[in-house]
Amino acid sequence: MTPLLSVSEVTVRFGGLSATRDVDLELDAGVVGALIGPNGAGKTTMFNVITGAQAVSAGHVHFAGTDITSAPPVRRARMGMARTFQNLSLVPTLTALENVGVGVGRFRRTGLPGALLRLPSTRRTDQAVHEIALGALEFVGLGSVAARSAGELSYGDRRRLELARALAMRPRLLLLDEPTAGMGPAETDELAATIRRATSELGIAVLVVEHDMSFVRALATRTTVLEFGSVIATGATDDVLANPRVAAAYLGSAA
Amino acid sequence: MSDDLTDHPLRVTTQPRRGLDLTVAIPLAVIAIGAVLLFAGYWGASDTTNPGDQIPHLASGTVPGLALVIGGAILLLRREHERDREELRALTARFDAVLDWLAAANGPEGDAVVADNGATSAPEQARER
Repeated sequence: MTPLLSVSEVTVRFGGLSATRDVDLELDAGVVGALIGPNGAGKTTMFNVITGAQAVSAGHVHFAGTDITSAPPVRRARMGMARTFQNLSLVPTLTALENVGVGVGRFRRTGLPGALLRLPSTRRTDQAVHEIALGALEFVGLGSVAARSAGELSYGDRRRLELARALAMRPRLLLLDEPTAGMGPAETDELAATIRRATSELGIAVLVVEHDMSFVRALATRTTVLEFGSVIATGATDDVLANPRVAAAYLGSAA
Repeated sequence: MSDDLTDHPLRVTTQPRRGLDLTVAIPLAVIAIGAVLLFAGYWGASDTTNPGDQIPHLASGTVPGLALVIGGAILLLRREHERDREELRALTARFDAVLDWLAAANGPEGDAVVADNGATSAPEQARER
């Protein structure tokens, strides 16, 4: 079976510095995978390569069997990729519902004339966007704060709001960059349950960059470990986390 | 990935929203009519240099047109003002609820409110803040 996402021998160089070297990564549909490693290992660079924000110096990226190595981010999003960011990227003055509506905007087929004239097709699209955005908010447990401004929400709720916006795009692959950063244990458990539901009910594949190893262990079936831009371990999560080389990468090896 | 909105798995059913917001549509219509009257007044008055002939156009076009534009703008501003007042009322209600919660958390005698850093202040002072 062709994996949903296949990254092969990807190298990214910034001048004389190699951020990643010959990185291979595969993820099947409906599976949660994790990309872990110490700070500066090249995890976010790999996310940017996969989503098209960073060009590769060498290597290939395939998504659903299509070579997307040189495809722009907008085409990748249309093909079914969505991501959240390490730093929250919401519009604080818009309501939670409107923020999610921004993510659904790509489904719109009506333009400016239709919006100005309030044509029936535009009203039907607006209604559908409203219902999808509300459904996405309810999916992540934020239905009760739909009318509140994003800037008023707690940090954990804003993280979940980003997730709702990504889910509303109806992705096949969802990339989450440190989704539990700044969250407490209860919020982390809740988020893990929501992501599990997203894979089982919506059939989404999820790739997570995360430092919280208990979160990775609870959620990811496959894990890839990066150190200094190279893959040092990949495979079933429990096996990878038990690998002494992975422990050494995180904790440092005895000299 | 399907680009169709109808079969989105997260879509829920809600009551259709009202297509036309009359509190916006009516003022905009009033302003549009006023603008047409202003233009008609100008068009008629510009046809002649005789003030006596211009006055009927000013009286039936420019003056009512100007009144409608100003009236429509006032209606729009009033709506915005009303929305601001509603938001303020909602914020005040939430603020009061937080104060009630703080007062309840500090016991029936109205003990001092304890801050994170250990400093204390009377509930009245907290209310004033």
